[in-house]
Order: sequence, then structure tokens, then C-alpha cells
Amino acid sequence: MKRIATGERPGWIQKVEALDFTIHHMYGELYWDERNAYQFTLAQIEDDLEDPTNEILQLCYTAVDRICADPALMTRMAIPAEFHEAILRSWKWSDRDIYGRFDLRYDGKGPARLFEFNADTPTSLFESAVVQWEWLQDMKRLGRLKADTDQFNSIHEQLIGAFQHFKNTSDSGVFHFGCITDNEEDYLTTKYLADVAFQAGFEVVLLDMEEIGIDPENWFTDLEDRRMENLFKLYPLEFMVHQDFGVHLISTPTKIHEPLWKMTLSNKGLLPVLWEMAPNHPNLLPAYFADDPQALRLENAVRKPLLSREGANVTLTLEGTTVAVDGEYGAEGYVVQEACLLPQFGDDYAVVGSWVVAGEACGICIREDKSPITQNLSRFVPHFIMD
Amino acid sequence: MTPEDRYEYVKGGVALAILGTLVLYLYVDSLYRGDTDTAAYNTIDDCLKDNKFGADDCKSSFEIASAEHLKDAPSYDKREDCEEEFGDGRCEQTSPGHVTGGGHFSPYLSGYLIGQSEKMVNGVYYPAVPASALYESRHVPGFVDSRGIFVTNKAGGFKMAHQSAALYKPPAPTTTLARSGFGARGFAAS
Repeated sequence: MKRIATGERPGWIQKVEALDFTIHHMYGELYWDERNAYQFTLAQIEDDLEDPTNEILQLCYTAVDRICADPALMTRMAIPAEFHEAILRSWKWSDRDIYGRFDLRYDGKGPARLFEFNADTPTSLFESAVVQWEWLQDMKRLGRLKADTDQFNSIHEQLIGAFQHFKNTSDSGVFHFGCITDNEEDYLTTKYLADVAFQAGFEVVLLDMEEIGIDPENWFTDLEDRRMENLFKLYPLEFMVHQDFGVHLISTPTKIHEPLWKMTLSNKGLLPVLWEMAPNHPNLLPAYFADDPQALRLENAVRKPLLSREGANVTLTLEGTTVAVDGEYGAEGYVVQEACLLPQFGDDYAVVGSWVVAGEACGICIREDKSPITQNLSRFVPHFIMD
Repeated sequence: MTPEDRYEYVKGGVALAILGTLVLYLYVDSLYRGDTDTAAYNTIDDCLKDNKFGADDCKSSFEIASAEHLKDAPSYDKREDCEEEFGDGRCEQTSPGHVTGGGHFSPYLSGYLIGQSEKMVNGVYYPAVPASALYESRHVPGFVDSRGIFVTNKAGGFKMAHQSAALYKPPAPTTTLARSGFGARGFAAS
């Protein structure tokens, strides 16, 4: 794993905008960053990232089994009691999940270590699946990368396969998508998934979360008063359960994606559960609930809220130095994980996002940040495979 | 962007990966799903006499079917078109409560399907059967539902095949009671 100064392509902004990728800058800063690219060997991809990702995912599925069957543990993870049974039901009936992204600490040498699992509402999907891929093709056309250069990236094909499965079992042939439409990043991710569903044969409808309605039989409805057979929402389940329509999630016949059982994975409480199930697993870091006495033994530790996003309320203590990010999370409790600093390339800390779609590892993305805690100003940097 | 050139390095490529996934899905679906026991009757009395279901089940399913009939019965602009499908003298004018606004022509309700909730027994999933209005078409033996989907070939108990299209109610227009129950701002996905 090396960072190579591959250099920006002339006219790169027009090129990515031609793909409808409008968020190359966000919050006034560069987001799509092709000044550099990360080079991996095939062995690094297959042995250090792809295989461990699949292994961690299987561990996660075992963890769901464990968490769903233990109401006390779900309570400890701040999952409201009135949803416990519905979560178990959605798991037992095999409501399928679509996708997720593991954030891994990897430096090209030792084993990849799991930082956390974005199991419910991961973004940066479109840039991983499409923009990054088109960058590689263009770099090859321009002769800046060799013709046999590759990329760990079958995200798009896996997504189409997943939606084709839903299509095969769909009666209505319609798939609804909800998000906060005025958040450009969320909208772009959701629009991409809707496009994938369309390619898989669905009629698709995209609407704002606030536009979702409810009918007398607990079906969620769209603006034309049509019942939704399937609803993908790029909006956290842990927020939805506390909102006005949250109670309808328990009994709605509408299939929600991601399904309710993903609340057991989209929660930092997963980290101590995994560590307890597979202590000393090479791809895991020691982790405990904050009220566990063993948590105190970790000298170098990261404290993370059970529910938080984009690094909010994370505190990193390493050799006496503390780095903290503000935020509004943390009321539900914390976990403590052994600190393991991200590798630095130049002045930047890089985290590897490892994508899983329909139960398979299928691609990666790299995000760089000036801070060792990756936040929403992190930059997306493409990668390629070349031995 | 084609699957073939996307993922050259992985043994066998994407097509195989997707095929593998589909085979697994089909296997799981066929393994864990069962056919749900239910029944179709012409009248509540027939249901009561058959003794397969309690009086409550017989009546509540009929009520649901009747309500569905008033709202969602198959409807035709012309009486003769309705009678061509359902038989001479077997159609009536729809009321204003019908989704089409009334004043069209629908067949008489000629039976109903007993609703069943979904069950999990010994690891086998038995899908729910919605209580439904049934109609007797001249062209199909037995009963069809309000969408014209074949349900069963005669009155009485039967097993509803778990793949049956009659099990699934489409996302037809309904009545939205409320909106804005989700979506408070101030969060970012990750």
C-alpha cells in the first residue's frame, strides 16, 4: 500500500460532473481528491482486505443472532425495548440487508483492524462504485496507468444482483427511496441506488423522508397514496424509531431497507460484542462497554458513543495526548476501544472503507483526513491494484 | 462499464459471483417457505358449516372482503363488458366508495378468502394470506380475486401455494392518514 502522486487529470471537474457527481467539493473544501492515489498489491487486496472483510461480516451475522436473542444486551446498546421483538422477527424471517461499509485501519503490512461498521446509512457509495472506476479507466486511456491496472470494485454489479433478487420476489415492481433530499451527499447516494434498482427492472420513486405517509393498515405511502412494497431509507433507523411514525416500523407490511435487525450492527455496542465472541481475533481491536471494568485497563483508548456518525463525540487518548471531536451524540452511552492510530501518508491519515453488498466483500474506498479521527471533511482518494 | 471488465482479477469474475448469490437465494426461499392452509367460501354460513374455522374468523374475513369489494371490485365502464367476464345478470353498479368514484359496473361478490396471519413453524415460514373478496369468472373455474388473479378452483379448504401471486396485495392507491412522521433534519449519513 503506497500513496502515489498520480496527479489530477486535466479537466477532472468536468469529467466527474459528466457522471452527475456534483459533490467534488463540500463545505467549501476539496472532497474528491485525485492528486494522489493508493496503490495496492493483489495479495494485499485479497488476503488482507477482501478475505478479512468477509470473515468479519460472518462474525457480524453471528453477533446479530446473539444480540437479537438477548433483550438485556439490546437495552445496553440503547435499542428501545418496544422494538426488540420486531428486530428479532426481521432477523428470523431473513429480511435481507443490502449494503454496509467497514472502516478498517490498514497500512499495507499488519492485519486490517476493524474500527467500526457503517451498517445502516453509509454514503460515499456512488464515488466508490462509479467515479473511482471511471477515474481508473480514464487514467488508463491517458496512459498514466498501465493497461493491466485493476481496482477492487464490483460494488455496482453486486448492487444490481441484490436488487434483481428483490425484483424476483416483488409483486408491485416498484421500489421507493427516501432520504433528506436537500442534503446533496445523501441525495446523490440515494439517487444512485435508485438508478441501480431501475437497472434491475424496478419502477423507482424517490421522495423526501418527510413526504412518507402512513395508511390505516400501517403501510407506508408515497405522494400518490400508493402503498410502498419496498422502502430504502438513507436515514438512521435509530432516529426513525424515536420519531412520530417510529411505532409503525413494528408492524408495517412495507419492507424497510436496511431491515430493522441492522440496528444491532449499526451501533458501536457491536464492537465489544465481537471482541467477546472472538477475543484476540487479528482483525479486531479490544473493545468494551464503557461501564465494563476492563475498559479502564486500556491506556490508549478511543471512546465512541454507541450511536454517532462522522466522528462526532469521539475522544482519542494516545500516550497522554487527547484529541476530541464535538457533537451532539453520546447520551445513550459509550464504548471504549483500544486506540490504534491510522497510518499517515504525508500529512494525512488514511482509513480504508471496505464495502459489503448482499453479504459479499466487493470493493474499497480510501478517505484521508488531517485529523486521526475521520470526519465529514475527509477527502475521497481513489485506488488501484498493481503488483 | 461492463461486468466483464470491472473485476478482472477475481477468479471467475462477477457473473459467477452473482449466479452463486441467486442460487443461494432460491435454495433458501424454497427450503424455508411453506404453503398456508386457508379456505374459500361463498357465504358465512358455508364457512360456519365447514367447521374448519371459528365463527369469528368466518365473520371477520367476510367483513374485510366486503369492504374490499365495495372499494376495489373489478370495474368496467359498460355493463356488457362486466357481464361478458362474470356472466349475464351478475353485475351491479358501483357505489361512490369505489376507487374509480362509482357509477361503473362490477360483478357481485361471490365468495371470500379466509385470512391467515404469517406463521413460523419448525423453521418453516408460512406467508400470510390476506382476507379477500372473490369472484367467479366465466372463463376461469373457481375463484379469482379483485385483480383477476386465480385463487382456488373450488370452495372449501386448500393450501395456498407460497409462490401464489394472490398472496401479495399490490401497492394500490390507499388513504394516507398522515405525513411528516419521519425526517427531522440535523443528521448526516456517514
